[in-house]
Formats: sequence, C-alpha cells, structure tokens
Amino acid sequence: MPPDILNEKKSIALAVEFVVDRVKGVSLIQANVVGASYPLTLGVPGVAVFGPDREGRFEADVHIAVAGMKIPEATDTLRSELWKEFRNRGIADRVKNVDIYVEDLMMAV
Amino acid sequence: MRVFNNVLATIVALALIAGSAIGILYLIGLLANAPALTQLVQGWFRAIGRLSLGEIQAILLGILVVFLALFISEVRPWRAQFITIRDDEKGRTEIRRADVERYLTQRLSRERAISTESLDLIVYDGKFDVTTGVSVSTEADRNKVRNQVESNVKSNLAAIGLDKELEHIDTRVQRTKRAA
Repeated sequence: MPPDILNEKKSIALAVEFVVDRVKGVSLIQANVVGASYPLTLGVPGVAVFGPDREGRFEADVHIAVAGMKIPEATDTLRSELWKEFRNRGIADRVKNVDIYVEDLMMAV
Repeated sequence: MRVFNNVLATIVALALIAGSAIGILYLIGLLANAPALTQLVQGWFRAIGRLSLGEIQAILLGILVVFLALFISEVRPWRAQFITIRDDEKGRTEIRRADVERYLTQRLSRERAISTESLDLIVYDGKFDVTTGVSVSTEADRNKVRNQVESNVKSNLAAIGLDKELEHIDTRVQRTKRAA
C-alpha cells in the first residue's frame, strides 16, 4: 500500500478515535473485520478504513459499545461529531461514508 | 428446533456412553482373562461385521446428514446478524442481533417466577419480531405471564431506543411443575 494512502487511512482512524473519546457513553471495541486494510501498523482497535475508491474516497467502519444511552441517540451524536471533526481536519471530502456497528449492549443501560 | 437439538444431543451422548461401556467391558474381559465377556462383545461386533459395504456407507451417510442438519439448525446462517437502524448516504448504523437477544434475555430473567427458555429476534427490512419461550409454575395465569413478558420486552427495547423497530412479539408460555 502506498505510504500516502496509509497516512490518509491513519488520519481518518485517528480522527474517529479522537471523536469517540469525547462522545459520552460510547467506546471503541475490538472487532475482527474481514478485508480491512487498516490498521496495519498503528493500532486503533475498533476502526477499519477501506478504500480508496475510484474517486479517491474512503469508507470507515466503527465498532462501538454504548453505555447508559439510547442507541440511536448515541450513534447519531457520534456520527454528527465525526463529520464535524472530519470537516475540522479538512478530510471530510476524502470520506465517503461511516458505518457504525454497535457490538456490545451489555452495559447499554 | 432447540428441542430437536436437545433430543439428538441426548441420543449422541447415550451412544457415546454405550460405546465407552462396551470398550471398558471388553478391556476388563481381556485383563481378567474372562472369555465370556470378550466373546459377548465380539458377538455384537460380528453382527456389525456382517453388514455389507453398501449398508455401512448408508449408515455413515445417514449419520453425516443428521449431524449436518444439527449443525445448520444450531448456527442458522440465514439469520441476519445485524439490525439496521439507519442507512443513508452518510453510512449505516447497525446493532448486533445476538447482543440485543442477550440483553433482552438478561432483563427478562430478572422477572420473578419466570424462566426464559428462548428469545429470538427475527430481523427483516430494519424491523424485527421477538419470539420468546418462557416457563412458569402450573398455577400461573398464562395471559398474565404473556402480558408481563411483552411489557418487559417493550420497556427494555424502549430503554435502548429500539422500540420503534419492534413489529411483533410472540410469547410461548409453558407451565411446568416446580419443586416447593
């Protein structure tokens, strides 16, 4: 994988990690993702970045646990905060979509 | 299907126990130099030895089919793994079905005098049905229990914000005798 693509994936994953740390009731959890090409070196457990596609855009899968909040509420907040952060970092046009997977409900309420 | 699995598992377990017992019997016969025991076991195996190749193949094929059916019915690969609660151009939001099932089962097991036997989510088009099987004592009122279960499921789904996705709840109530 060319280094610039790896760096772009890394910057997306780190932005996701940054946002998840700041959203109440949400945490990243490790998930095995088939076909994920990131993380390769720097580990951000629970985040996988795919792509780029023909338009040079990436797709991110975010695997989370939700605690003490309604799931749609938590995931909608996370999604809007993610796009806000992508825009702040100037990488929003490089991200096609973000899929959020809620993998753990044991501590949901 | 769970009942079928349990029955089949019992048959397999009994077969294994019987096989082990025969093996131990033969071993004791050999060690104790008791030909009556070894000949008894050999007699059983002689009957198996008289089977033709085609009959043995048919038996093995039958066992393979039964085990394959058991495995598939247990794994149920056709069931959706995730419940999609949002899908637009910005991405999807999905929740692992098994986690919702585990969460609801846990909450339902807190109800007094109700044992949760099964709880399954059947997912389709971003919606789902809940089927539950519970057992209660013989004195319990089935309708009351059914209402109690459905209210528990609904309130716990509402607590995690998934009540809008619920289409239908099907509750099977089984009354069993309990030890005092």
